[in-house]
Amino acid sequence: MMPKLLAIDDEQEFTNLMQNYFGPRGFQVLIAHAGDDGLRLAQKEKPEVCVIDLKMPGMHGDEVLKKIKETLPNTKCIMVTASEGEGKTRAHLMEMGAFACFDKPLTSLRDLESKIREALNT
Amino acid sequence: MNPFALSGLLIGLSSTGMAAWVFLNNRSNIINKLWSIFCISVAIWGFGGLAIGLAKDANSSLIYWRLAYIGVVFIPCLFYHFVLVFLGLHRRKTLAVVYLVSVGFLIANATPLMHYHTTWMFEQFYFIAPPGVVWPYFVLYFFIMVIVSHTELWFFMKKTDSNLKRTQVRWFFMATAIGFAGGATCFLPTFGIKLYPYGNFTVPLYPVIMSYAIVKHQLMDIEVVIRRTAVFAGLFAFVYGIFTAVTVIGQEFFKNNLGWNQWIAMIPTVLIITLALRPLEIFLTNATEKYLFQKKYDYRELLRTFTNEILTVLDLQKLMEQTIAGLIRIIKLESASVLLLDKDAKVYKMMAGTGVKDKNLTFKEDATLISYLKATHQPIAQDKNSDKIEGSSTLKDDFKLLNARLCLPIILHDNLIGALCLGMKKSGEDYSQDDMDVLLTLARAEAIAISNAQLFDELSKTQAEAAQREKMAVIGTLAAGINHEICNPLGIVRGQCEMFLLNLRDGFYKDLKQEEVLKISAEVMNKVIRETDRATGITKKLSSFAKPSKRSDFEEVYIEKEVGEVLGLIGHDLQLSNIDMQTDFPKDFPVIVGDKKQIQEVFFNIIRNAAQAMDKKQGKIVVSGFSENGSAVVRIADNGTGIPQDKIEQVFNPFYTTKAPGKGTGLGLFIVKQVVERNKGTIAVESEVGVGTTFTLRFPTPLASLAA
Repeated sequence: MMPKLLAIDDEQEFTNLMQNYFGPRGFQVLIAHAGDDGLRLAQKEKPEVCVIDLKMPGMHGDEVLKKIKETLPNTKCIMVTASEGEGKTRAHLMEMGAFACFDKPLTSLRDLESKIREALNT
Repeated sequence: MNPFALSGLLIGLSSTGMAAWVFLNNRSNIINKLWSIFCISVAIWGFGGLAIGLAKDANSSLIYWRLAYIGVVFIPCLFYHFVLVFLGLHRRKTLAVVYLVSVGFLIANATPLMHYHTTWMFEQFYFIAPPGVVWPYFVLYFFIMVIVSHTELWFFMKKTDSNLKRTQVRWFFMATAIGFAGGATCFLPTFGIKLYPYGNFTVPLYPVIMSYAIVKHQLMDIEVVIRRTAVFAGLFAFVYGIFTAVTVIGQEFFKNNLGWNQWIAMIPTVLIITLALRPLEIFLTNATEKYLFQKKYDYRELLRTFTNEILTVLDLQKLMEQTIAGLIRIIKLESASVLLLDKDAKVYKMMAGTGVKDKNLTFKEDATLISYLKATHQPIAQDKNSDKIEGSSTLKDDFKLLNARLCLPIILHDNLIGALCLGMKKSGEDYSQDDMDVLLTLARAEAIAISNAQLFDELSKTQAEAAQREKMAVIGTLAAGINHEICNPLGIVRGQCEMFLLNLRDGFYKDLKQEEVLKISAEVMNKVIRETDRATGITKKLSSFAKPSKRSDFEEVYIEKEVGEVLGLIGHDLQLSNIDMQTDFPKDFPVIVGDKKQIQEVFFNIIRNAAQAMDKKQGKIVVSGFSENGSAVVRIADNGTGIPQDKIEQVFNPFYTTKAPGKGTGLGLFIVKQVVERNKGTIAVESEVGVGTTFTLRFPTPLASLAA
């Protein structure tokens, strides 16, 4: 079975990129462009890994993380944040149960990939 | 004495008086000189006429006629010359010819060509008749010059823009026309027309009318000085003289006609004096005040001009210049200047001056003049003895540099902040105690005006700085949003390239045809270009917004476009905050004239404020425009928390904020209001708690009114 990867980001180009990169690499890539949509999709599809943007209309990324962690404890959430990568925000997200945090802009797709694979293996 | 001799005497005396008055008033002025010489030539005719009227025999009368004509032959050319100079006309050649003609007639006057015989006329005196050969030509010349001169005056009156000058010329025209018309009657008997030259009596009217014009309308720039004390002394002497006469005559009358003794005779006269003296005195004093002193210079005008126009000027340099211009114009000064303390350089610097050679004069604090003003806080006149005041200069030199006669201290909070330095009055009159009182009051008011202007200047500077600081603070808080706007595109750019390269390396493209790989790479590149443009656009907007605007950047501003620019900058932030942002501008929304950047700032601040005032899940901001009565009106309405009625007055006050400490400087709306007003607009706010707030901005649309 192909692992399911859910990308939640209001930036279409970013989800597009996720699709084009992880699609050929053996993932079933699911896409949502708003927090609440993403949460619904996650609850329906129960993906192994979620990549969640922090700043989004509809529902904020940390809210989505919280709700996913409440209902799907096995789903690993990787947060992507442009909020100046503040240590405080990061620590807070990790505390809330995030598997990892990445700064925006992503400096490496490969790093993200290895982190996602790491999440799948734990 | 016959009437002809009497009229001659009156002409002689009045013309001589006029000549002396005008000449002594300003010896250096060509106008004054010419007019005096003209009057003297008339006076020669007048006194000659007196001698003719009194001549006992034909021979001596002929001599007097010739003497009188020494004056008469020059009347036409001097009059013409005066008119030219008075009106500022240049006819040098004509003038030379006219003088030559007069000189020619002067020579003829010494020969029988002009006069050779006198005839006993009107049974009173010897008149020239029959005329000499050239005499009719002289009469012709006389009339031509008089008519030409009056024509010049007439056309000047029609042409000139200056009301004062027109009034002056009108009076002058009237005076001389009357004089010449009357005087011309003297030509008639020589031609055999036996009319007694009573017209001569109108000749003395010209100095009378001219005197009136000088007093009332400063003809020839003569400022008539009538000394108050002298006039009142004369007035009282006159009043008491009348009563002395009444007393003496009354006593005589009652004693002689009614047989009362001296003591009883005194009673009615004492009664008359006690009842009538005081009212008469008051009447005369008032009349004198009203008619004689008003033209001196109008204190009321001085104070009115200063309080209404000058002292409210907030631009320091302008205030100084208008002060000097006002003093010069109203008090009629030859020079005036104002010194102001430069606190940093510790000197008193000339800020504005008229009639002063060096307009960049500075006085050190230890200059004698400054020391004196500092020590006494009193005005000082040039001739004041200043032995007791020590200083680095002499008072005389200080006054000379300033071309001043009187210096008044400008005192603020017990400190000397400057000095008003007044030069000589054009009238030559000294400064009186009245002047000092009025001017000292004026200097006090000036001190307050200067302090206001200085404060305003400082405030404007601080305000500009505050506006810039506020903007930078705003940009700081925006950083997160902007970071998002820039980082997202950059992340995509990087991701697309990395994806392509990794896919290539990992062999995901190896089964594809070359065209398919090229198509994928073209897609990647298109995205790179699009996202790079997006990031560049944001940075451009940001740097243009952050730049301070210059004062003179007024140009056509399309408000809807500027609102669009602002939304480009903060639109994403609004979206993230779940704020629905709508704009609604009609197609023909008018163009305004203003500073683009400032207008952007205005909308930026108001929209951002509105966004911050949202407490609802779904906020909404609507920016709409319409035109109304020639104004471009923009409404920014939000459905935020609203402002309580008791606070609404304060929203435009500086440092008023409802935001948490550190979140807002409280300068945003204060600056918005200043900026709107600087762009000639108005701003109003309406609000209801729980419903929302609406800002209404109105800008004039000069371009629309031009087109209409």
